[in-house]
Amino acid sequence: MNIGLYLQLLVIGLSMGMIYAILAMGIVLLVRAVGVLNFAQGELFMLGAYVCYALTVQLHMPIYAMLIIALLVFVLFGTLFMFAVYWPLRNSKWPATIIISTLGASVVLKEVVKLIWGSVPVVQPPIIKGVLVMGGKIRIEYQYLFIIGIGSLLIIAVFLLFDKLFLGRTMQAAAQDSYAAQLLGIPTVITTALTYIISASLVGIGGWLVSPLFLVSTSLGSFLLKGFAGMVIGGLGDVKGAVIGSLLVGVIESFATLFTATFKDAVVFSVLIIVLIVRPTGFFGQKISEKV
Amino acid sequence: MNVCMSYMKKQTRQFLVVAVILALAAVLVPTLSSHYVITVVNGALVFYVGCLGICVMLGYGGMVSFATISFMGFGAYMSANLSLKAGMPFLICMLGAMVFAGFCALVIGAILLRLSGTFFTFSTVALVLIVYDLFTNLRTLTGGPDGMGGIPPFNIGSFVADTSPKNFYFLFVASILAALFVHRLKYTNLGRRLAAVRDNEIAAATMGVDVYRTKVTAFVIAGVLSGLSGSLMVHNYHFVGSSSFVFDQSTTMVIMAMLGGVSHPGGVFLGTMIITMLPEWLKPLQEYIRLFYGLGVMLLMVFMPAGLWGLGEQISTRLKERFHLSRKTRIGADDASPKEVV
Repeated sequence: MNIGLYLQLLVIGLSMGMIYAILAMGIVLLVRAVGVLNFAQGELFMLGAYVCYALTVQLHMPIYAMLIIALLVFVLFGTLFMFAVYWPLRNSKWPATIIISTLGASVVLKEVVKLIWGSVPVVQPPIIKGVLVMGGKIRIEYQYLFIIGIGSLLIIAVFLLFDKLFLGRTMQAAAQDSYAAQLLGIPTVITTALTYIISASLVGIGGWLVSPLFLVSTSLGSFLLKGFAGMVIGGLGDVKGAVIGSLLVGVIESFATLFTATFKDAVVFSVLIIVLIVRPTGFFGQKISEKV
Repeated sequence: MNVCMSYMKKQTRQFLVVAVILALAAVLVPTLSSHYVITVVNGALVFYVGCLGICVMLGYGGMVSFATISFMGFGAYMSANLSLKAGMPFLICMLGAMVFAGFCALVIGAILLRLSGTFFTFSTVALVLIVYDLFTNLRTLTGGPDGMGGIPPFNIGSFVADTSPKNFYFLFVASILAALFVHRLKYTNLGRRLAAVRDNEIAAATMGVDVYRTKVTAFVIAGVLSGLSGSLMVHNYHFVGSSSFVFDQSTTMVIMAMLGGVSHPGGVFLGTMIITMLPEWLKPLQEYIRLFYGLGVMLLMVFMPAGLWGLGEQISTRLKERFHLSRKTRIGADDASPKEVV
C-alpha cells in the first residue's frame, strides 16, 4: 500500500479540517452566544483572505506588521458587523429576521469585495514556502503543516479562553442566560461584541491561512458549508464536537478524492445526511435546551 | 345576527374587489404591454409560484428554507424529460413534476426537519449545493450545464401557447390557482397548526400538535409548489440549464418573498414583481444591483420585517382609526366582532 500517498492525504485532510474547524468554531461561538446562525461567516472568511492579500501583496507589508493590522481590521469588522446585523434586531419577535439580515450582510460583503478588488481571483504567495520531502516520494508542502500548527494554536487559545480565564466564564454566563448575567452586572453588550470579534478574527485568520492554497476569490464563502457539516457531525452547539467533526470532515473529503474528484463535495454532504438520519444531535451533541 | 351579516358582506366585498382587479389585469396586461414587458412579467410569475412555497414555509410556518430552488430543479427536469423523451402532453408533465417534487420533498424533509430551526436552514443550503452538483454532473438525465432545449410549449388540447401573451394566460391561471390555494391554507386546520408551531413550538407540542408532521407537511406543500414552478419555467422558456438552480437564485427568491410581506400571497406577488422589475428599471446601475439587494434586505429586516404588505396593513389600520372608520373605534362598538386569524 502506498503509505506515502496516504500520509499526504492525511496531512492535507487534517489541514483542511483545521480550516473547517476554525469556521465551525466561529459559528458555534455565535450560536451559543446569541442563538442565531451567521450566514455571513463565509464572507467574513473571504474578507480575511482579501484583507491579508491587500496588506501583503498590494501594500507590501512585512509579516508582523501585517498580522497586527489585520487583527485590528478584524476587530473593527467584528464590532461593525454586530451593530449592523444583530443589535437592531435583538428584541425582534421573529428570530428569522436575524438570519435573513445576516444573509443580506453576506450579499453586501460579497458585492463590496467584488467592487473593490474585482471578480477575477488573485494569487497570494505561500506564507511558508517550500516542500517537505520524505523518502524521495512523499511531498508535503510546508503550508499545510503551517496551517495545522496555527490551527491547533487557535483552537487551544479558544479553549484556554473559555475554560481558564475569568473573561471566558463571563462570556459563557452571558451566553447561557443574558438576563441573569445582566442582573449580576455583566455587561452583555461587551460580551456579545467580544464574541463577534473573536469569531470574526478566527475566521479572518482562517482566510489568511487558506489563501495561498486556493486563489483569493469571492467564492471562498463556500467553505462555510463544510464547516457547518463538521459542526453538525460533531454535535450541535458544542465547540469540542465542532472541532472534532470538522477534522473528520477534512479527512473524509481528502480520502474521498481517491475515488472521485467531481463528487467529493457530494460525498461530504452525504455523510452529513447519514449522520443526520442516524444521530441528529451529532456524536458529542448536547441539546441546547429551549426556554419556554 | 347583524354582526355576522356585516362580516360576511366585508368578505364578499373584498373578494369582488380582488376578482375585478384580476379580471382587468388578465385583459389589460397582454394588450397594453409590449412584447418585452410581457416576457419579463412571465418570468416574474414563474418565480411567484415558487415564492408561494416560501410563503407557506416562512410566512405561515416560520422556517427559513432555501430548498425551493432545488425542488424547482427537480420539477423542471422531470417535466422536461416527460415532455421531451416520453412525449407526454403538458398537463401530464406538470402533474408529474409536482408529484416528483413532492415525493422528493417528503423524503428530504423527513430527514432535514429532524434538525431544529437554524440548523435546518443551514442544511437546506447544503442541500441546494449537493443538488446543484447532481444537476451539473448527471448528464444523461439533465444535460449537464448545457441543459436541455427544445421543450414544447404549454398546451391544453389544441390550444398551444406559441406567443408570449398566450404564455401569460397559462402562467396567470396557474398563479391565481396557487395563490388561492395558499390563501385558503391559512384558514385550514393545517394553517392553524403551522401558526402555532411558528409562534411557540413547545406550547404547540403541549397542545397536542404533532410538530414534526406539521413541518414536513408544510415542506411537502412548498416542494409541490416549487415543482409546479419548475415545470412552468421549463415550458415558458423552452430550455432548462443547471445554472438556473444555484444558491444565489434561492436567496433572491427568499428576498422576493420577504420584501413584499411573507405572510400574504398578495405581498409575495408585490415582492416578486418589484425584484423582477428592478434590474429593468435600474439598467445603468446593473453591477450594483445585488449590493442594493443586500443592503435593502438588512434595512428591511430592521424597519419593515413584515414587508410592504405589513406596512400597508399598518397604514390602513392607522388611517381607519384616525378617521373612525374601524368598527372598533366607532361609538357604541361592542367587542363581539369576530377577529381575523393572524
